[in-house]
Amino acid sequence: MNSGFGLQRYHAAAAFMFFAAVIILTAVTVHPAYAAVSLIGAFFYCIILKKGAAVKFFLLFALPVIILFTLVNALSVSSGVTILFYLYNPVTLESIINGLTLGGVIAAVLLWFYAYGAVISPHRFLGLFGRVLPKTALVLTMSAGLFPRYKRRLKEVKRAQILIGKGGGGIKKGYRNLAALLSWSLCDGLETAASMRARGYGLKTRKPLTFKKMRASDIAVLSILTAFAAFLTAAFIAGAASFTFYPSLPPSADYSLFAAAVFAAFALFCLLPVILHTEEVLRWRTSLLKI
Amino acid sequence: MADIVVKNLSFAYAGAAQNALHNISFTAAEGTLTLLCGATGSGKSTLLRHFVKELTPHGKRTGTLRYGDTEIVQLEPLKAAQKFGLVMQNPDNQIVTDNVFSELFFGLENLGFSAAEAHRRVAETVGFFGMESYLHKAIDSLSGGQKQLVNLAAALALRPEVLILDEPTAQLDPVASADFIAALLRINRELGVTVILCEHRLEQIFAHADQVVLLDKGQIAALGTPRELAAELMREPQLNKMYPAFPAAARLFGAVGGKGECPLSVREGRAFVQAFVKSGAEIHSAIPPKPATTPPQKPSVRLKNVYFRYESKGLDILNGADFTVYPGEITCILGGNGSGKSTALGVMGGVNCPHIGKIEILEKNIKAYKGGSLYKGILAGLPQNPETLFTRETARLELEEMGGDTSETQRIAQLLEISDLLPMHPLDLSGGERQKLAFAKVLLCNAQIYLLDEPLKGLDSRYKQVFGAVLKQLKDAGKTLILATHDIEFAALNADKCCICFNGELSAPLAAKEFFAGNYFYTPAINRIARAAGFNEVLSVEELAAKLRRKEFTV
Repeated sequence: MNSGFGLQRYHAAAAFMFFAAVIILTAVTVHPAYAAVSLIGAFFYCIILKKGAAVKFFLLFALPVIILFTLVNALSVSSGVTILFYLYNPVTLESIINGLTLGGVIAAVLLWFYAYGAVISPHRFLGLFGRVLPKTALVLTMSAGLFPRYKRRLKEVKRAQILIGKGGGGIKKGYRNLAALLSWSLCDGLETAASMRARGYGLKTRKPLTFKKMRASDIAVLSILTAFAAFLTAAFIAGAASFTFYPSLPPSADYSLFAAAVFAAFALFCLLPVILHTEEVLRWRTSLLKI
Repeated sequence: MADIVVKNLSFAYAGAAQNALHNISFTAAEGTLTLLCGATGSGKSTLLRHFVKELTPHGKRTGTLRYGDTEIVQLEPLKAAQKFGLVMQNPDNQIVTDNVFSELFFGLENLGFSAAEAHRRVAETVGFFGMESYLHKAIDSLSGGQKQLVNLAAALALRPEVLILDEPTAQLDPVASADFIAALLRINRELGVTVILCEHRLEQIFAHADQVVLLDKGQIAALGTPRELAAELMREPQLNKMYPAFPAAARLFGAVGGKGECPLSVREGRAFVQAFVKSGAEIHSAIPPKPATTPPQKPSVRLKNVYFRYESKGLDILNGADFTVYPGEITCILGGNGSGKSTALGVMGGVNCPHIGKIEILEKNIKAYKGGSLYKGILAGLPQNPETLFTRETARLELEEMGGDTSETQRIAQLLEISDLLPMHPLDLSGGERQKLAFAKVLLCNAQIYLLDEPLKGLDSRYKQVFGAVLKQLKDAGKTLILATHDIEFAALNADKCCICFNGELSAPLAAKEFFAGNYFYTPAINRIARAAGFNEVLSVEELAAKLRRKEFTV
């Protein structure tokens, strides 16, 4: 069942491909313009996906990272020729821009990971890799079921022990509670094993099935994303996105047509999830109007 | 599809001197529903496990157990897994994955079905059970009844020919267990799946079985259709350990020495009562005796306008609860799942702290009990899951760590009939036995007020009588007993006061007779039968039988 748009709706392979590419490409480039577009793309995509929660995430994590990197770099690196003022050491414009860029890269990566969490649920991930790693996939999905259960049970144990006068803090009491939880849960495991065997577990090689079919549209999107990623990777290796901060700005950057094309491609790539998503939302709205 | 034929089956667990099963023979014909019943320890679970190849217990075995022409232990493993489905008692433990969808695929994946075939099977299973609304939910967010239906559906997705069920409703509330049984009956009736199940609660399922096998000490004590068996056994109730578990209508039939067909359902019971009350005779329903006005007492537990929620942004689970309980009384809080019963007990026990309202324990604000002094001889609680109390290697150590002297420990163990279990590891005990051990621990707290959360879960009907007697002793000693329970039948027979928890509010506790006489369907089966003769306040089979025998209904 799917309630999403864009990457949320396409096959998990497409979404996974995009996030892997955008995160790696963002992380390997320290270029103010590239960091900025990646940050913008990630920020807007997060807002579309999670609304207010994304703003909160940005203010709590991404923004502090940018500020922190800028401050630390500005105060600790004195390279660069444009001295703005002195604070024990000379503080240079180059060093501030460098810090800002580094912070922007890290913040963008954080935001992309945040979006990844909203787009690729553990289930979509397992659906994607379950066939390659069937045992690991089963262990993961089993643990995903056990964690909330154990958490709830530990709380239950604590309360139950209080009510027979054995509650309270301290390492010893904590150990008691944990012991109760462990033996209880181990014992349950026996019954789980019985239920698994009764349903044929271990009789032959397990074949995970809860994967989605690749449709033509999925293949199309996946091909486009792969083409982008391949082009950008090649261009980055060729040095199209290199940037030097020191000794002075304006940078000794490449202003060729090729460099501009690479930048445009990267910007488009970063904005692609927002474009795909918005386009679908608009199409959905118009479809409503036609009724 | 084929019949299951058990012939002269005897079985002893490895190292055990006595046979757990002795000379068992019966046939479960294709497409029928066989009900195995028997008191705890009668060998019904051991017998049941013989039907599932992968779970066949280890030990010495003679006799045969065939499915069609093949011995069950010699079935080809893939076939056995496909043809025999299993559902056990605990809903949580049987679930392997973390969401309903993957759980339904689990067996199909194990057996290597193609994606298309698996999807079709899951689709039709989901449709059959109508579980679309929670198909994508996390298992942890489901109720016990929903989880058990998931287990049933997961077994059914493999299209079994036989379903084996080991007390599948023991952990469920009455509404959820009725739903479960309805689903099971549909599978049997509409799909022709052979069903073999064991149960101790017989009220709902008994009349629907094609065949009932009553086990006692590993042997078949009686076998037949429900009607034959009930008519035969009800004549000599004292010989039958399972008597209290039989449907109320059948027990009434036995108690008044009925002739002809034995009634099994409430509907038949009502017809039976009406036939007994001769036509034209006027019924003078006894006016319910005014509950004796209790001398003014000091309340032991009091809630005043209590609001409680678990999460700051969550809903209020208790919604202005007011509640007063007195010493020397058994008070039952009834109500469905999630109605707030357990939460209310937690609030009274001081482990849930309300954001509004006041709680008084023995006329003192609960907050005035500092440093755990509340739990030293004043208040003790039995949790919903007895396992939460076990931290030691043996049941004996569990009891000894409560700090009572040896004679007291022994007395409690005897009172609760667990003396034989003391050398065992607490978690090697069955569900009902764990419940007993946990209750023993709680009693050793020697408190004034006991809060018992679903104390009857997993107990068989005979033991419920023992439990009721223990509660009575405690109440006579002036203790306060507050139970949160689903068990209407138990509450009707044992409670002094009953109240209902609904929508986060607790109704004022009423005397049990008054409470149930005022209910329409939230009453025990025998009360619904007695209403046919106008006895709205009758709560036990014995009471109704006495009235009918004395012909209290004629002028």
